[in-house]
Amino acid sequence: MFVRGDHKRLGPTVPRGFPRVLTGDRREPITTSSGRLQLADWLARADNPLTARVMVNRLWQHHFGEGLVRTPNNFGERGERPTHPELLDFLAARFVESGWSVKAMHRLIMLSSVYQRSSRADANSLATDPDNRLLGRMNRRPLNAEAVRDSLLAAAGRLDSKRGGPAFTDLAVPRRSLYLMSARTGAKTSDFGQLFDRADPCSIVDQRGHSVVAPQALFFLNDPTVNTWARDLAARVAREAPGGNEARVRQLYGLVLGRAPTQKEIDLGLQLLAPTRGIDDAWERYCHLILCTNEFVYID
Amino acid sequence: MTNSIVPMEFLSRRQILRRAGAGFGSLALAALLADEASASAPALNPLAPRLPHFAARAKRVIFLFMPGGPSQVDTFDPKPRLTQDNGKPSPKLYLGQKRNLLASPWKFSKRGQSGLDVSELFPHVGACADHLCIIRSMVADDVNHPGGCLQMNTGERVASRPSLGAWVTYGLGTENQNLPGFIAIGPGPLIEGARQYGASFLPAAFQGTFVSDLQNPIRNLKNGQVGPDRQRQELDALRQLNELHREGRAEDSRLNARIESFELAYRMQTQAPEAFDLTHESRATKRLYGIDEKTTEVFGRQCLLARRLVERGVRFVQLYHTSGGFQPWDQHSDLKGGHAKNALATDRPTAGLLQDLAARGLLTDTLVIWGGEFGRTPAAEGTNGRDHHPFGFSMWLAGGGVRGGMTHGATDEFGWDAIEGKVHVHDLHATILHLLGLDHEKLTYRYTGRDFRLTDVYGDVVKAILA
Repeated sequence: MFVRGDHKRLGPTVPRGFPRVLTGDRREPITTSSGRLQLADWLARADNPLTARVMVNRLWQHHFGEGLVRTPNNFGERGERPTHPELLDFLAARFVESGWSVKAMHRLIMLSSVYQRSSRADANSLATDPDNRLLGRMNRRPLNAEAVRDSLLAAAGRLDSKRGGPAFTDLAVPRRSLYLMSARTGAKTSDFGQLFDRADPCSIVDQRGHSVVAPQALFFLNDPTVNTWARDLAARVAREAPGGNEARVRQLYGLVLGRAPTQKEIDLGLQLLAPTRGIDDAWERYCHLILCTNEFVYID
Repeated sequence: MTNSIVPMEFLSRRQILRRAGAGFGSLALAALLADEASASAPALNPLAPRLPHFAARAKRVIFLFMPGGPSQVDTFDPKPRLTQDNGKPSPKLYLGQKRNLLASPWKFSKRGQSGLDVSELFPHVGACADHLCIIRSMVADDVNHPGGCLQMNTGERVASRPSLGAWVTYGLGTENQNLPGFIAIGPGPLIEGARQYGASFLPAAFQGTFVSDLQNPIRNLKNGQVGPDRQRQELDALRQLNELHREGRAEDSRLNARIESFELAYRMQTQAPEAFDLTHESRATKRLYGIDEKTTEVFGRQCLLARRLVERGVRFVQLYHTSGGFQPWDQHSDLKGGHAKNALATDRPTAGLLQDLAARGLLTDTLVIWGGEFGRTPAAEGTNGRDHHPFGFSMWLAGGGVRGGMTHGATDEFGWDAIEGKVHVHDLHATILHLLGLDHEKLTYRYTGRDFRLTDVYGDVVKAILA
């Protein structure tokens, strides 16, 4: 044993096995092989409900922003209690029954009525449950780092959704952000991820942060790639809605925000696009503005 | 976290001016920023200034990091016995190897009123001896650069941990919202890269902004598309759209925080380049920092930038001396040539920084730290080099709350191991936080089920060096 992980502070020789604190006295020594297979079998054995609970809680957190247990790395003494223990167990049992199918679990969660609730909160719900522990409404969720860039690319009509391939560093490459270079030593690692709270690749991260800082706004306002994508978006809108400005505003809202604009929004758009302003890149700038909106990065 | 935001009425006029970054002309802006700081919750503006746990002696930090490991016996820890026994076998084996002692090629002399011994490698820093608190008994755990640098910068050698600057910014926020709270400046790449100034599991807002290209210090600061007037109009339109969106969503303070972040970004575009612009500094100032000479220009610029940034309310500035390699102090051979070159490049700029801070009244509440990840062996490696040695080396502190003109601790008669007043890296970190008004046992962040500290379960404040 290395005391505190220090290779120069050697403790007694300890035979391979599961920690007693987890297994109690049912401790079986591991006498053959590396122990990895035994660990996997032990984690996934039928009478250990914890593994399935932890996994479905992660999947739930992915969809709702918060898990049923809000300390996803700690289901122990110092972790939070589940807000819906029966639901957690129901999901965990279904997960195991389905042969640990992550896809089936996504489907089950997303077809539920709780997933389909509106995030618009009434005053009563806000007053009685400000943290939304009872899930009376959907949590409004910010796009994460990868989704921010992929959404910009998708709006521009440039997203290359091909799977696999080598990692890349240049933000202008239209491939999915999943493949942005990330290395432990930082070499060639894109700093885009850090800007939007991507997980530190050297840490065990159970939940990403969601900071709101000015450098993110600088990215949206001034990054040359965002400018390029806004230009692509403007060209796309012109192509897809050859009519007048109003038709194009409608098309733009549909593409970027997935809804029709209100009359006020149309008026504001037309005002910005008015020919009297004498700005020939008005459409491109307007598209850029819509990409900067809160609505684009916060999902209701 | 229980720290609260500093309300407007607790700010001195001077703080307000510094926060504004540009003097009286920006008073209105400062007031605006202060209003913002007190109006938004700490979770939303993680960089809002916060009160320390107790009265602070230092408000900001400049850490002059010397990668590679400067040798203690050639800089701040003279050893007459080493000179006397030059070439004889060392009584101490190092990593099991017999090696011969190597006298320092440099002479030491008493400097300043306090008569501190400083080697002739640092004539200008020596002239500032009365500001220096030299710790001759530093101890670290790692004999190699990656672990050594990580320990000095994060407290931990292997696992990912938040850096010192990230912890400080987490604890205190920062005073100028138009600039990052923690800025790391180095002309070259760093060993272990971003981990040296990263936030690890702390919120990403506390990570250091690494500046390598001084012409283009912060990403996306320049708007290449439209002029300021038109950008202002666009931002007004954006605000209108976002306000429409906010109707019926007023309870979600993140939406308002993001609206404000665009206003801050707009102001940063003009304020940040000003902070990084050295052209308006006087010729005398540039000369003081050695910017007028090729050998001292790079580190001189780094040091002058550090002063400009702390003057404008940046909480933590870290300079890496990385011109001439990513660990220039690593003299396994040619100690004489290598150390002389590094000392020449950094001596005048470092002394210039200390003098300038003192002249501007900033040194009283700015903590300056100098040192590398470890020291070097008193015995020779090969014929003319020195090997890594973390068990007794020198660092110095100056300014905010430390006693100037003193030495603390001692190594043995050859300069191998610290034998008196040992200061482990954890103790140094505890002391730095203490000077900033932070209790290193209380500055915690819960991660994976436990409360983490910069100092883990270690660290004692070195009381003997406090002013």
